[in-house]
Amino acid sequence: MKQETNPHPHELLSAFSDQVATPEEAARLQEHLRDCAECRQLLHDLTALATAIGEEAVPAPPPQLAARIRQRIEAGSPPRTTPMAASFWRSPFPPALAATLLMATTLFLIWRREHVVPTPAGIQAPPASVPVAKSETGPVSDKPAGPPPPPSREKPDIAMNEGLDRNLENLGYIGKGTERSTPEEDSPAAAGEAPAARGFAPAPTAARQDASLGGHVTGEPSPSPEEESQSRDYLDVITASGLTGEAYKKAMEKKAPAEVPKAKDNRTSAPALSDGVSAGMVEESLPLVSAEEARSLAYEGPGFSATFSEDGLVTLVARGYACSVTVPPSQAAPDGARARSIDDLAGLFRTASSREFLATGSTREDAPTAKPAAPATSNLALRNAQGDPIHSVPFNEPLSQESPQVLRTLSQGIHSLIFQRYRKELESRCGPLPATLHSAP
Amino acid sequence: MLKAMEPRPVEQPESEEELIGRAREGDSRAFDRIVQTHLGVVWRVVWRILRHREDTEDVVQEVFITAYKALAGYRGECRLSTWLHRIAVTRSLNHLRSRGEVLRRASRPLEVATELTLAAPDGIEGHTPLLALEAKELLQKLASCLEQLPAIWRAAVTLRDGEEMSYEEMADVLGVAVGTVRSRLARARVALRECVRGVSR
Repeated sequence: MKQETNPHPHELLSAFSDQVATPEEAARLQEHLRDCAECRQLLHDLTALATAIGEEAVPAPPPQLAARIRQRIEAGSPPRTTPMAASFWRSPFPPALAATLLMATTLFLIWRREHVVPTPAGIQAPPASVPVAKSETGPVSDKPAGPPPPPSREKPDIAMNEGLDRNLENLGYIGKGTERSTPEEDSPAAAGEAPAARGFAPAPTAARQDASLGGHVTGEPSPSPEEESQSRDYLDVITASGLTGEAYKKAMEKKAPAEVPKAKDNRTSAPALSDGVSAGMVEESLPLVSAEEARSLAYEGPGFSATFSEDGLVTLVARGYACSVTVPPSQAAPDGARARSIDDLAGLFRTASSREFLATGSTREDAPTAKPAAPATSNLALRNAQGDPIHSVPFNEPLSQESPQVLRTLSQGIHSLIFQRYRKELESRCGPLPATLHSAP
Repeated sequence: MLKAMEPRPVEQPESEEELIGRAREGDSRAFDRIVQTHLGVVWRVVWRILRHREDTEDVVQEVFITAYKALAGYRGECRLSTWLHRIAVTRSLNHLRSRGEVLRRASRPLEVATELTLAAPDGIEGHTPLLALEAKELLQKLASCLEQLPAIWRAAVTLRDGEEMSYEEMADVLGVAVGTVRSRLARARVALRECVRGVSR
């Protein structure tokens, strides 16, 4: 088809110069070259350029780079197989300390319940603009390369593969070989499948039970409305990936945020967790989340990356700064008003488990032609204790009024957790937050 | 762990598999070895795309940190180097994207590749046969034109001609079909050549 508009077989020439043209193609090209001086020149030039590119000098990496990488890794990014949480409980802290922490927290919770000081409902919103100094998280996206794409591509183009980076990361670079994960893998439809497929280990039994009680079995993409309420039970348990069975469901019902809007469609609602139960029902402290059950929420933005693990590990990585600290574990929201704000890890995870968040980012167009121009500068990913993604949302910062409310809430919450709530812990452990970071949000 | 306790002949390095296994279990020293082995190549790949030293430093660090975090998902379905390249390319492109580089230009069909408005390097007027250029001059012009090339084209060209990857490997690294590698390379090369010759404008 290129030949129709371009008389010169550029693609063939290029392939030929790489010695990857088929014999038939080579023969065809030879025939063309015989009569086309321009292409003969081009072939020569392509070869000369290839050689020149191969000879181009590349500066050497700075000698201390490997050491810097090591430092950053040691500063708080354990590999995902040993979930952050698990390694936290396992190695540096002996069980006795864990028990002490548990007791201290329990005491604290009791104290807190008796001394609830009302605070303003909202969190001080950080300034909206985030300098786009540096972001590696925005997914690469582009229109399909080349002439009108054939109806079926073997693999999505990296350029159009919205969220490849995200996929690579959130899917833990799961070995797909050449079959690159598609954007849909992040979509709720796929996420609905994920729990069963990827084995959200902590709750399989409960899941099966619920399924056998009438919920549909594995993540069917589009449950009918009447199925939805049943499937929700199942999904609650699955997606929670933490507590098992009834205990978890009860807990979740209690910590569900108020006024969670109905998901736009069944597909998007599939992995939803919370069910819009009034936050006024929240009245008890949630049980501490154990290391094996702790989910994590990873934020990657232009200014910094932060990972919050449900059992209290907070990791902040910014330019020239990396810090991992443990903070007091989850507490239940003391009242309805505060349930909408995020002022601790529990609040953060409550919002990240909400139907609102789990339904966000799911309306990505399937057709590459409908792609908006905006690239994503940031990403939020909720993962289970095994590090498998539950839901991941790429988005752009600074957030605007058009941005989904839940993203604004989460973004503000994350900034407020880092710069206010847990700042003391971070700074006492790793020194003052970098000056550039202060103004970042 | 047991293996680590056994005396090991100095000259016999651990296999990559072994290192990966240990790194997965949280052995940062094992991962450090992986870093040392692959740092040079990853650096080159990232630099060739970014062509900026400080940015390359940042992105290379991110590449290995990402790899470390994601190591659990690496199942050996491709070579570790390919896997790392994949992360490196993606991170690099995203880095540029975050800085506003227009990757979209690469989606132009082949037919208009020659119309790509890359500015010809200074001192080139009209068509100049590459043959007529001194090697040094060619390299200078090439550097200037590579910088102007859309990043995903630059990635394709440099993976092929700089790193000498096969089309299949490139397809794996870039996350595209082999056919796409082929057409993208052609577009990139033709545009590059036209730029070096000073055709555009």
